[in-house]
Amino acid sequence: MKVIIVDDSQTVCQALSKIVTQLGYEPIEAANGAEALAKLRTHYRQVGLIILDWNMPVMDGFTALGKIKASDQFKHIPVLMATSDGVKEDVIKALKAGAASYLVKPFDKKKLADTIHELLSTGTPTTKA
Amino acid sequence: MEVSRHTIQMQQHSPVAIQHAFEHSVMRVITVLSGKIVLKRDADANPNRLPVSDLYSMIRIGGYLEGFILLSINRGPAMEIAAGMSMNHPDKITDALLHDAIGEMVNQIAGKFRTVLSEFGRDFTITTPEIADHAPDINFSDYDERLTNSIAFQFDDEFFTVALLANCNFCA
Repeated sequence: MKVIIVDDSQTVCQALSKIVTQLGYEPIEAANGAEALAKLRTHYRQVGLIILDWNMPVMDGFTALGKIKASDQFKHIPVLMATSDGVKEDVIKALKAGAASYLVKPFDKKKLADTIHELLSTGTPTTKA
Repeated sequence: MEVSRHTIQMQQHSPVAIQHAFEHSVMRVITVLSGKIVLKRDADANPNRLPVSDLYSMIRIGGYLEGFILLSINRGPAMEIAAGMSMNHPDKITDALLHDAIGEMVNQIAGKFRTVLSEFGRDFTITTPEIADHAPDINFSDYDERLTNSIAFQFDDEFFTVALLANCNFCA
């Protein structure tokens, strides 16, 4: 199963890719929302999870989340918002827009791994991150 | 009850409270990213300037606070933090990845600081980080001296400095 990792930071993409690989899944990296949607169109049948940053150039994560959830092909794929911004209003906005969970950077790697594993197993986290 | 809640809220909007929130945000983020205990080094602080370093990362802030968050760090500690952040061996850290990592460090500090202040009902915007190998041409005296501060930190034997330069649109 593939996991699309969307972050404009190469540092964050590399760390998330390693965690996803260690969990036994195949990472696909994208640098912004538009690139993620393009890769999703190619791979959506194999994609089990999208990990999505919020603040990115070209297309931000919230816009990308809206497009994913508006698509009949993609809307079933759980989206984990993973961003440096933990402002409560933004967390609520993302969850209302269809994000399955929300994690704030810097990540606790175990919590992140547990959340990824739960979302890939069930589509929902056992606890809201 | 109403009076004490109002008093607490006013204290939370004070420049001193904002400075504490900033220090807390820096220490929290760098502790997680470095996996080390991060200490503040008051003895090494010069509140009115950034020390000369190998690398600088800067984010502009606007709204409730207007100004900059700046990171000044030497290559050694930056490499160590970048290796931890990207889960790579330090030998694998290229210049591009190093620059990306220190940009992400200041981005996460700004994000944490924004989150903390938002809990007090105040919000500000942040830009994407800019990286340079020379100190940005910013005059500390252009900013509110009650908020503007350059703080030295240490983990293991490594040092770095994070500065907040800001004017506050709602501070007393």
